[in-house]
Amino acid sequence: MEHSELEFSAEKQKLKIVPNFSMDKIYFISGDVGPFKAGLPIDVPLWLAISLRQRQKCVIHPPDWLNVATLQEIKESEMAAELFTKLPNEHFREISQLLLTHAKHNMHHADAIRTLVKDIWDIRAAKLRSSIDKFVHVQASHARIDNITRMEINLARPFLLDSLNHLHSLRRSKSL
Amino acid sequence: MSNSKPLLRYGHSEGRTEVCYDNSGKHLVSCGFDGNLKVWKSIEDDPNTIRAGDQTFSIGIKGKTLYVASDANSVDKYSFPDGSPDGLLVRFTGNVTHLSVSESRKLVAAGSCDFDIKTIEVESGKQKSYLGHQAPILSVAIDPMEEYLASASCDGNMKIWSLKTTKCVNTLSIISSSNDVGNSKTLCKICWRPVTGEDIAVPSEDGIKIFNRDTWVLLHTLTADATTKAYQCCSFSPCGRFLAAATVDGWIVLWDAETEMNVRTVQHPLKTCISSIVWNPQQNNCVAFSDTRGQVGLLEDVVPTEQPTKPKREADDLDALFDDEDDNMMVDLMADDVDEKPQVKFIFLAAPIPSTLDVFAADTDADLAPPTILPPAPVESKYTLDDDASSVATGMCAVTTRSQPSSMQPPFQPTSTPTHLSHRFMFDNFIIGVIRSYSDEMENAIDVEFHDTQTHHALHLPNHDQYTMAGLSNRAVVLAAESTPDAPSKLKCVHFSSWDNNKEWTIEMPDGEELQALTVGDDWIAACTDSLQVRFFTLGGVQRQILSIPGNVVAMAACMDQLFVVYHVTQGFGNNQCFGFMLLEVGVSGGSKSRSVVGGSALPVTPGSKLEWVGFTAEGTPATVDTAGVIRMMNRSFCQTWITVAKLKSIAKSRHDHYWVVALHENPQQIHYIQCKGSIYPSTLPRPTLSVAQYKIPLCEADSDKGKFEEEYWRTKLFSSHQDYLNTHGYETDTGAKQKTDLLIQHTLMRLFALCCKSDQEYQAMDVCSMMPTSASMSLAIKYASRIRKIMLAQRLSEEAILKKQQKMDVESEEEDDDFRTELQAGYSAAETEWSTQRSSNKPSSSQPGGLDEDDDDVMGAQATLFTTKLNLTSTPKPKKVLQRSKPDVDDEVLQKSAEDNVDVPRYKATTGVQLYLDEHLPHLEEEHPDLDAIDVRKMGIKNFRAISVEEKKNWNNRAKSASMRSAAGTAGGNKRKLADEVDENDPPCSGDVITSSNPAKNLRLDMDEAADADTCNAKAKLSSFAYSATE
Repeated sequence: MEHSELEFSAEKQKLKIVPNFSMDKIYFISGDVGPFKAGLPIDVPLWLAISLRQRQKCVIHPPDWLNVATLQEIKESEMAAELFTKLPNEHFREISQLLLTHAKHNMHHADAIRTLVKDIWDIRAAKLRSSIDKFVHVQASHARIDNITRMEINLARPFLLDSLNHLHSLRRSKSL
Repeated sequence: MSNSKPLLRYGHSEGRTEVCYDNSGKHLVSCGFDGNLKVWKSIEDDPNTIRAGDQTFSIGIKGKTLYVASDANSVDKYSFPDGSPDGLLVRFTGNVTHLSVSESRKLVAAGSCDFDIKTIEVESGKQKSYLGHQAPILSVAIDPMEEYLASASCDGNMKIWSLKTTKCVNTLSIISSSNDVGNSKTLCKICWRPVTGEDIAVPSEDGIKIFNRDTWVLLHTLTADATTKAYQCCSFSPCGRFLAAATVDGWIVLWDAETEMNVRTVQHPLKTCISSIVWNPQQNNCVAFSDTRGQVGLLEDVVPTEQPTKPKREADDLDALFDDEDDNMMVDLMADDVDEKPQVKFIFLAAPIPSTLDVFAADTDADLAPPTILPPAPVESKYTLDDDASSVATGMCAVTTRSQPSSMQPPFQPTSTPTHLSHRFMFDNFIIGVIRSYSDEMENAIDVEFHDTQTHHALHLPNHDQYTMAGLSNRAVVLAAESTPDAPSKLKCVHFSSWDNNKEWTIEMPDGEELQALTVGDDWIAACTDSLQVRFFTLGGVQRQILSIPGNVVAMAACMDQLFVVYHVTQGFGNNQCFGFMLLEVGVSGGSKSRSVVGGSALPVTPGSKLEWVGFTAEGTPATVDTAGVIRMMNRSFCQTWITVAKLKSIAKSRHDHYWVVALHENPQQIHYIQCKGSIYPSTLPRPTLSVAQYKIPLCEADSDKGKFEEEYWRTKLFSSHQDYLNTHGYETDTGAKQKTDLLIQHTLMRLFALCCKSDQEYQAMDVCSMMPTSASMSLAIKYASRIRKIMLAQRLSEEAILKKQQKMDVESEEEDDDFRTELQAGYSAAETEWSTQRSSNKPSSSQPGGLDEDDDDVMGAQATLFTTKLNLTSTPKPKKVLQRSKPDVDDEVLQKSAEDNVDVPRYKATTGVQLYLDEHLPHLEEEHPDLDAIDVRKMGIKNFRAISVEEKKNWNNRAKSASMRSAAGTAGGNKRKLADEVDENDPPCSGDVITSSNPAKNLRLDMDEAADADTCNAKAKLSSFAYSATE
């Protein structure tokens, strides 16, 4: 799976926007959106929000967890915990990335948020790497990881699977 | 001589503050929640700041030492005035809430949140602890004789301790208990009378209580009529003569402690809670105070310098003064008022003292004058916010206690936030857009932003003329400014949708007129001035009508062609407002006529509250929101009365939240508001987000199923009534929405009906059924009732249904009659005829293209004609009665009844082809079907008539025509015009046309109803009597 595919599936998440135009319902395959009324908040899929934002047609309200205070808390608990903590959204990385690129001006302290998101991501990536390292070292047959997002799985999978295959074949040849 | 306006400076952040003077009276020190101590040399100068912690709670100065209670749970010493730290005095386990320094400077008392009170001897550092209070300590005060210590606590008690033994001498319950200083209704800052300490003043919820020393008996309670709120703090003047106290709502009251008379009342301009008040120890007429907003204020010349010492003597003096000129003494008094305000006020206020009253009753019998005769209160005609607050207050005080007039609400612009905010909303309508105004050192400007960017791009206007009011429509921005010394009040319009190059115009009000309210309608502007004039302008700037309103305007709103003006009818009493309103269709827009919908009647508002929002729903129905959070809407379908549609307080999550209503919608039913946490007004930044709430009509037992359905029914009905209004005024409406609401109403009623049936409330079910709008739903109800074996109910319902249908057809046939009568009369003079007397108020509905095929038209025509003929038969006047009685098929009771309403219409018998046909064939049919009743027989007859060929029909019609000609000719003095009517009426295809063109939709619906009825009829033989027009 590609990162872009994960991003695509993340774009289905609903988000609150305030449109500055009025329009009737739009009928999509995945469901109806609207009617839009200028100035009235409405929930739309992320991809639509971004597309409207790019055309200066709306103001995006970032999700509740995408603010400095909440992210700071998440970061601290992530640092304190040995295992992975539960993130507020399964598409944590994708949504924050998309909003930070496209709706930067609708957020307060966007730069601080960007740093925090990156920090959290790095902490988790480090945890993931160290646990993989441990996994390979002890030559375990399986391991269980909770609260890991699909993006993170996607990060580790291609290399991990390949290398495990290699290791396996190497071990087999050794034992032969 | 009196400067009634207090001088105010911001000194601290929000929260409790405290002030105190040093011994010389030259320095004023204040502390607040920002942790800074500020030393003010004078209120105009910038203060010196001493940092004393994160928060400071209380301060005291004696000599060169400053004692500060800070958030470090300690009382710290600072040297004064240089402010260098001088060590720690005492430490507690909780925050120190209040401290007091003795006059001798030897002793400091402090009370804390840990329920403990300590006294510390400054020299030796010896501490004594006083335990006994059950809650955080509110205040402490050391007796000037240094014998006692008084303390008040959140547990509601005041305790008097002996300083020597640390034992509690007396406990008095004075205030209501609370759990923390912040939650207490009053700060209860106790004060001993200086020097002698002969009594002690305790602020409480209902006044300042004065207790005697040693006996601790309540001597009296000082109150002021101006305020009913709790007193926070009090302070004796250094001479012990006057007592100053301050309340939660910002009133500062001064009494002469000897005579217990109210000397002065002043209100804080922002009406904020005053948390501390002190007298200047050197100047006897200067009071300093601080409020919970962090402001420090100074009130100078609070008491007149030559205050007479004995009230009796003063009265004598006055008597002597006025004895020789008792006729115009009031005039003199009023004249004195100009320069010697406090003195005169003193007289006004001295109501309880008979000697002063005698002055006013001088020309009657001076000694026997009843105390109720009071001088007319100098009630201010114009509402003033702060400048004249004191004089308003004195005006109130002169009137007897219970029925004191309430201050009249000043005019406001709906959805604007107060003018004292530097960044404020001038107009905040989430339908069109937002106007914000910024006025700070950097810039003074107005920003207009449209929610729908297609309306117009955002505007940025410089605000040099200090515009304070604004209105916005999707065609223009209107701004209004109050007058300044060198410029009159003016109105500016930015007509951005104009197609010429002049997008702006400005108009000045006549001299002395102040704009107080303005609003923008469809293509007109209305502005109201303080001389009770509403001035209309077109968007281009042409002046239109002017209109006088009966009272001072409160607010105006406009929508489409409607203007809604709310004004004061009169001054209210006991905090209530007395509003009236007018609703006009102004007719400034091209073509439409002006009309008064409601000429002027009282506007309901929750007792004790004021209006917060006045306006129209997005669909054009007037609505109001008051400060109690009640939303009312005009109920157009119920005689333009007002109905409560929501109570915002009941949906608020916390009592500190305030819902700032910005727009109301009827379709969909939504209240759009901004949630303000801990404040009343929304702030401009960050951009407030809109929330949506639902309406709820406060019906009884709203939680029960029945209540729910009832509420839903009435709510849907209420919020769909705007559609009728819009339709009659030529606005486009969404027909889909109308159908949807109709359907919803039917559904709700059916569910309610089912509920009543299930709970065996048959009569109730019947009531529900009578509310059903269509007979289709009624037949459904009948079906339902019979299915669940409520035969009795079903029967009654079907009777009801027939009656209803009959009445409806009556109305319809009458409508149709009216239609062509109007057409016919067009050519005649407006002479009074029997037709015109009978005409109902039904307007001829505009003709619409009929969507029916020819056959249906014919059928409908025939039916309607049948009906008119029926009517004709029964409504024939006396001479014809014999004939009518002889008819075998019309002795239907229902018809009889309905006909009685129309007896004054003289008609000729007989007269259409179908009628003639029936006359001839009905007897046969009756013989053939003896089991059927009269109506069914008639129905069958009509069916047969329809079945016969066109030519035959024509034949019948011709016969009918000739017959009626004959009968008309036979009538004495036959009226030619009537004849013409009859001829017209007698031609079935023609009359059919009239019907279809007049109201095809209705007829179609009727037809469909009948089809549905027919189904029912088939389903249940019992109900066959109801379906009298089977259309198989």
